[in-house]
Amino acid sequence: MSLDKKLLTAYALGEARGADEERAKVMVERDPEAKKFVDELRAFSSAATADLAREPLPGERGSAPIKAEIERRTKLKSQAPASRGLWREAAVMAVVLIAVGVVGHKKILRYAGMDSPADNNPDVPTVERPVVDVQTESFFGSNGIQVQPRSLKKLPPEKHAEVFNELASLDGRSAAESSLGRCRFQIPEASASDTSSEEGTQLFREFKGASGLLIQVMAAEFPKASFHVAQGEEVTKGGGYKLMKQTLDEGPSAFYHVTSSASEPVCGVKVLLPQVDFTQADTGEVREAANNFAKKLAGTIEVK
Amino acid sequence: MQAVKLDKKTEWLEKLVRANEGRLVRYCCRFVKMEVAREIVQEGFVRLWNQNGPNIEGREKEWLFCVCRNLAIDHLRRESKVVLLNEEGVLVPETEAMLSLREEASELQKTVSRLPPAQREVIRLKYQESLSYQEIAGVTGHSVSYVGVLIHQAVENMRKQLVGAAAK
Repeated sequence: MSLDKKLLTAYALGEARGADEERAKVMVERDPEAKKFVDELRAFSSAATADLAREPLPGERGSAPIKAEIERRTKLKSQAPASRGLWREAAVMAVVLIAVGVVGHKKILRYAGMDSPADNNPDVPTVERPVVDVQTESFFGSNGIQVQPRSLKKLPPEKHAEVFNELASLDGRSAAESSLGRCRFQIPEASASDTSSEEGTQLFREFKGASGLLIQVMAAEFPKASFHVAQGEEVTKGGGYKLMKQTLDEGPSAFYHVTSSASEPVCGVKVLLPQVDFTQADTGEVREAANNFAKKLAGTIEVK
Repeated sequence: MQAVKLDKKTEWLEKLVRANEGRLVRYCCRFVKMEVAREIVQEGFVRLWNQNGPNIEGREKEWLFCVCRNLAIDHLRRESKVVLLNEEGVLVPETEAMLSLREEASELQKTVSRLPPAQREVIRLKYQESLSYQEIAGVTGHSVSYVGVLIHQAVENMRKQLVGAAAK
């Protein structure tokens, strides 16, 4: 009889649970070969543990430098609101991140496209997938910028056009020339029926579980833009990350960042704006425009 | 009241630093250079400090390993080092920093170094850092079942290699 060595390995290492453990026990009791395998493996494991434990540990610094760093960042954090330079620095790092807050309570803010240029137009240039962003969390964290979840009330409808115009202008066009002009905001309650397009419905369904904020922007009008997603794993439970990733992989359609907290019904949300290719654009102007837009949108969204 | 809370939190942090700092640096040294490993581990602890809520209570070690691993991968990406992420895990060679720590490596340690990367990583986490299958899954992103498969394969590989070496 052939042995289930994977099971016996887990059993020998104390990792078999429940029915698996019982099954392994029976095997060991009844089959001398299984017993021999487990005994040998336990002896091997104990020797391996002892041997690998002898591998030297690097010298330790202790907690002092860590505490000093925590203190430094706490100080920076308390100074952060007064420091306008930090946002500029963020733009220089080629990522514009807006912290808008949150949504608990089953409200979702959404940019829903009336039609998706990426779906309908084969000529829409594919945005090259950027190297995964490593600057958001760590960059903002290490510069003392804290993105705190806040309750989101809504973005007033009268501001929607303004937001579209601003977005469109980032690419140097007017809203009339941009397919963004055909987009609109929706702020539905937590019901799939509130969505206005098939894609929106799907997105909504995907994110319903996460109870978060989703901002989707049809961004085919940004041929020079690329997008960042960071820490998206946090919404894996709602299936959102997979969808985000897929969207990013497949077309230039969206940028967003949603985080959810398991311990609270409130989600922190960060919106990442397109990162314009600074090598091709007038970097100063674009940076300034992106920066201003980030500030404006953050200020426009009404927070409780 | 606030001061008492802070004292407790500081004590909690110090305890975790004492128990895990060296291990985390050793672990990160397999991905990055020593000085970077130290920075990463420091960042890991700072993030731990900033974590609120009970969601990591009792699994701080797993959390720290996971965060430091991700930071190391981020660092490699920033440095444009080739980092292949696939279902097998992170494929990176052991660094010189780590090898220098093991000038007098035992036969078994050499055997571990020769394992495929994904097997090597889980076997170290299991035997060296005493993490459970569940914790290893949390750190590496593999399923618990796949961790079991990798460990089983690694142990088989190591035993075969050691038997072969002994026969020579």
